[in-house]
Amino acid sequence: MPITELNHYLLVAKNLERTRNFYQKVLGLKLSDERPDFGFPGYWLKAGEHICVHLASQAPNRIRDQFLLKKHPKGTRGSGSVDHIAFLAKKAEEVRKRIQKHGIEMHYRSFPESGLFQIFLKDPDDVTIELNFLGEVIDENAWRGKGSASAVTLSKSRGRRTAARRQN
Amino acid sequence: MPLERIDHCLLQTTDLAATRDWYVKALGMRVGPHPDFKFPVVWLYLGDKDVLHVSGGGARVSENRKRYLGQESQAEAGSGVIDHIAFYATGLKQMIEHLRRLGIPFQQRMVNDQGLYQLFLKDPVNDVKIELSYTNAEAAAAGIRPELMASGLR
Repeated sequence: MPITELNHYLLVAKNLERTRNFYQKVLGLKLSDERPDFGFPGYWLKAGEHICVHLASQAPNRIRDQFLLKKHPKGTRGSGSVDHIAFLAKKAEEVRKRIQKHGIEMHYRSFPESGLFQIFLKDPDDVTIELNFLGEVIDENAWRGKGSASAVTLSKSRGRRTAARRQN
Repeated sequence: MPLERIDHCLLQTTDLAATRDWYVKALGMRVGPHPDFKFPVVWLYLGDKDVLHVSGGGARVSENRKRYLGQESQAEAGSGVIDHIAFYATGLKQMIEHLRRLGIPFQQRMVNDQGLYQLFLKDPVNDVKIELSYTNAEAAAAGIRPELMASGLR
């Protein structure tokens, strides 16, 4: 069973600090210090041991828009501020083939240094779904063109800021 | 009042069958049992866990659905079709006291044949609806009663 569990949702918040405060004070979630540098501001929050809420900000940010596949306008409210729902998954090659077989557009996101590979896709109602393959590193060259509409690799460039490298 | 983990999301769609089929075919989920909410729903499972709940959406949702859940958005595409996100939690009585102390409004719902007790509240910054899902046993032990039960809908 390649897709194994529901993992998190990402909220693009109107006010990042107030939203973090709500999840901490009202719902009692804990701030995680495990969030990698994505090149845009945000937080990860934990319920128990599970990081299940990801926050980003509505403040304009080009890397965020590129990463999340869409431009996030200011002033979005309600469930429209939820950007995506994420699942954990295993066997990236198997899942990629399954999605490609159904002719569904995919976007790859790679974090080779953290051992994380992601596939983003849209459901029939245009909801963004993120699949996380923990500990899986794919061969970018072997995967090029195999059903991916875009591919982004994030890596630290010699102690400087996170850089995003685009294909397609 | 700890929230233990993320439990499920509810998507509202204008095409229940197509949405169900897509999650089954593209992502390998399976359709599984769900309680009788008196409005149409599909529950999608990974292993033994329901992770996505799907109900009707758009402009023509049923009155029972509106009474039980409300409707956040009549959007038919994009993240506006996500009605709410649910967490599994323990410590119902403490959470109710905590929310009252903070002056945060919430609704109480119960699905009697599933042993499920729900609190619904809004993240006030972004207006996102959050469900906190407890066991019925916890509510019964604390003598807490909901405002509305699914079995009360006709």
